[in-house]
Amino acid sequence: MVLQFKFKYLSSDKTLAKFLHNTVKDFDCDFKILQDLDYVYLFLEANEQTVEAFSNALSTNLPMSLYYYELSVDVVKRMPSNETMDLTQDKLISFSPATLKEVEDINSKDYYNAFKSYKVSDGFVKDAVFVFDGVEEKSSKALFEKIAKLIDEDKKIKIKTLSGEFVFSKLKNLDESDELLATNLMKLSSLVVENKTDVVALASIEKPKVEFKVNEIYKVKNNISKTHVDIRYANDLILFLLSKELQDYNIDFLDVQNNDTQFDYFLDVKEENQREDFLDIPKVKCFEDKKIFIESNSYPKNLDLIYNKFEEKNKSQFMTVLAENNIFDKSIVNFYMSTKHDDGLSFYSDKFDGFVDIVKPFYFPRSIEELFEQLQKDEVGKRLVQNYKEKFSDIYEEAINSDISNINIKSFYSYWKIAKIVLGFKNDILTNAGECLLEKGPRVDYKLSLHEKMYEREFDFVRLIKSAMSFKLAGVEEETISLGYIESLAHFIASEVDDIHSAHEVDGVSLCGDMFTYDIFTKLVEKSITKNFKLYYNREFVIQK
Amino acid sequence: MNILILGIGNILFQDEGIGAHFIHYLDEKYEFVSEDNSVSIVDGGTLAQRLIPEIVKYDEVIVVDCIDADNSKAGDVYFFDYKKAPSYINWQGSAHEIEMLQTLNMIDMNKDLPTTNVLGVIPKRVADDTTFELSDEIINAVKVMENVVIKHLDTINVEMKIKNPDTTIEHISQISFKRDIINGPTI
Repeated sequence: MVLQFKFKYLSSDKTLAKFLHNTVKDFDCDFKILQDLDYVYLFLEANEQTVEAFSNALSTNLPMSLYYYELSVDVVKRMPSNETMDLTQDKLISFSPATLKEVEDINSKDYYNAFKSYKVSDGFVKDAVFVFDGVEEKSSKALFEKIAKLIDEDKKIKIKTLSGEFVFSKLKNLDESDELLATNLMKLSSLVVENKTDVVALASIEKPKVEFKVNEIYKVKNNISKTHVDIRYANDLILFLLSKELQDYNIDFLDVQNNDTQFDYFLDVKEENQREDFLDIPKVKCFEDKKIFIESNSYPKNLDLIYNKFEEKNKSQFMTVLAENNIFDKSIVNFYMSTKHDDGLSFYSDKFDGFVDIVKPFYFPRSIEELFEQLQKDEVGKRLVQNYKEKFSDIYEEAINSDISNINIKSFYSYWKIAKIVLGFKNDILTNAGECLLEKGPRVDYKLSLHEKMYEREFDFVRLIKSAMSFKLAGVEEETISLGYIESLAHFIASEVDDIHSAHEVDGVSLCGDMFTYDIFTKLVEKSITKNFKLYYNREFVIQK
Repeated sequence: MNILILGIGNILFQDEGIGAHFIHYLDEKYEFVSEDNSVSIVDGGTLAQRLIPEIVKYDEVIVVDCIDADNSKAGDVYFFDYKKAPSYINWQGSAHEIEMLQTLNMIDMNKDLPTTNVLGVIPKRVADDTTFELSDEIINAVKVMENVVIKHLDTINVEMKIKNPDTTIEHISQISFKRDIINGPTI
């Protein structure tokens, strides 16, 4: 009997394949492991008992992964003719549950051995030793107890980890922390609003950083104004064993600072050779059906070469989406939307031998005064501004005296910043929309000028502002208009795709830029685009470099 | 038979938004009961262009909008076949929704347009201020518009059963911009 185990695995790394190999090689059977763009396949030829034993072993040996989505098992006629894949890779792999068994077992010779490498999981070299406060020390429970005690006594400890050196200390004031190490995943909810997908991601073999929302109770209790914080979990055995000891002191979170921060003690690791490979700490945004990388160094390095081919960031990023999804033979509309760089909307088709922009670079007024002049170019606009001036004289005065010369990134996000000023909003549009309890907002105008050539069309920012001013005059509140801004942009994207498709056949839509890390926006865009079009994101590459 | 009721109009321009407000009003007040037919309600203001190619899938369409007509007064209601519009009626589509009318024309040119009737009402264009409030003439016209739809759907075996009798167009016009449609597209 030949069984095909088909794992949906959206990465080109060989981590899953290595774990599979490590499990299957101990069984008396023939096997092959193969990998393509979306799947890792394990073909196994064995009798029924072996298959059952292997399946049990698999369920305990396979760690969770950010890239893994589902498994299907089928009986196939024969082994494929391809050679089993090569498993060598440079990327370091964090500890797995199997490693923990070795270092947590009091009867094991590796009890509290922080340098243990086990099977496919990487660690420090075997003969490494700690140097603590200038003195060489073996890895032991006593050492980690000592460090945990020092942390409890408010000492700052610099620690050399598999990812480099960081300074760790007891969390005191969240407003002063950007990154935390969770020592106990069961206690996350004491500080943040947790959801299962994010917690599973923290514990995955990739051990990423995830941004969490600080919970209201914690904010009130500790008089904190910070709304979000990055959290990660121990990604090597040093941090894992320290985390275990910290639980005795009820220290659930450590503040993490860079190695240039002042410290009281240094837990160094002496290795024979200077370490060149570091374990990456990617930052990830988890959606139910995908993960988006915000920071990462774990992607295939040829993507950097592809990215560097273009000067404009939107085109560079689009190229990486095309490359990662292997869709250079398809016609794809790209929306690059960013909070930090110029937006870019373009269409790629091999019929055009490349890209064509679908809108001219955005025009921005130099001042609010100029904007109001533009608004009043027709009678309707004149009346609108007049009414606005009368009804919201304070907001009008404050807006007209606001300096917008520093808003020089040509993006929808920047338009929203201007809208916030004109409309006198307290919060920014993305924050407002996130807090809006309604499902639907008013329709704000996102219109392009008509032109027979796609790349000559201009975005009409006057209508974008005008329509929202009208809603404000009609009494619609800040949060609702903000939702309208986000939702209407999502509808604009969807209708652009339809329009381009009606003139040129479109196969799919690429979405990149950090705007797509915002749940509310991404969900609305995905909901608006018809199911006929496949959506493509970056897979391992960061969504905005 | 699949029936589409499509409301057109820019709600920021008072009476000109009646098409959009009216279909929300029907959607809130009635349920549409029929053994053989389905009724879908669409706010032409939202993703209208997206739905236009879908129009060809329907067997019958009712477009609700403002119109102009010779010798008419605000609040007068007309119901006519899109392809046989009387010469005294001038329907350009609401001023701010011309894409919708253009697209209907395009579908017609391709001979794909299902039976389409227009339920038109003459707006009272008054104040300059932006408001969702409707003129008394339009508010009074809603009863007639409602009866036209009830009678027309009855001829094609769709019964309109009142589920929320307290629904008013005045209230609906204040919330239609944020209201989700219950009887959305079914095909």
